[in-house]
Amino acid sequence: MLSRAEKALLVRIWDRMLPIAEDIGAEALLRMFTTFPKTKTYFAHLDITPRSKQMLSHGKRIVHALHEGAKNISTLATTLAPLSRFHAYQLRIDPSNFKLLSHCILVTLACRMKDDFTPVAHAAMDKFLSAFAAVLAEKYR
Amino acid sequence: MVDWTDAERSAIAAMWGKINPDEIGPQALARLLVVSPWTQRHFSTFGNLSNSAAIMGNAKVAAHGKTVMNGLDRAVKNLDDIKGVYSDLSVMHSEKLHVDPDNFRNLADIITVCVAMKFGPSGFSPDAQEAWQKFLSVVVSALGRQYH
Repeated sequence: MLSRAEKALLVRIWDRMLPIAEDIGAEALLRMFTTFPKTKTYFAHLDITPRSKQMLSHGKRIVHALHEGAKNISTLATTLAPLSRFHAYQLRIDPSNFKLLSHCILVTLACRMKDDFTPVAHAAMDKFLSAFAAVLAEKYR
Repeated sequence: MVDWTDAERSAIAAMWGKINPDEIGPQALARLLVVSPWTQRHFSTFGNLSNSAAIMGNAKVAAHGKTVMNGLDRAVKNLDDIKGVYSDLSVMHSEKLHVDPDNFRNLADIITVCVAMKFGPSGFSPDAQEAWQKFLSVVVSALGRQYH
């Protein structure tokens, strides 16, 4: 459950990250590939060297989707329906990996926001990312 | 036996050298209780945990956070036998404290976030994160090993 204050906080954070979407997204992905090498198995078709054109573009896409989700938390399932279908029928990424990327997103945000990543912000973001991941996995079966 | 590369050994030692357990420990344990409130089930005697501010300011939480974080020192000093070092601690967490080992992973992830906040993107690079998280996952595994 997210309170109204938490939802507003999430929008503020993602608004702040949107201008540096490429950097945030690419860093989170790099952290995930480095810390959890098994996640690279889903990216054999892309150049995942640090800050490659493809990593920056992919990272940007992920952050934009998160931003969109944060703006529409009460209608997450509808907003993310196309992404949901994409993950279920095309990508078929094992949902355990969503937790790994979510964790690396938290680490990336913590690095950038330092003390601004308060316990309340941390809790709200963790809840939001879990909800987001749950919607992505919703159509799997 | 865990395979540590030389790079990982030095990254872990370097991280531990920079970390102040008395600072990070309290923050991490308090955050665990805020981010995952169900973990409060183990701390019913700790007094006021009713909201984020109360938890972050709670002296018993802070004291216990220091104890837990300083406990990592033995593992850093004995990378090649973390299993052995924590055998008794594992038994205690299972038989006396009845703590679900999933909580160890949970706390490890939150410690990692606190370390990231402290050192930023260059101080806590992806390679440093890899070594640090590998270290914590060995600790987590050792603490869960004596459960049956």
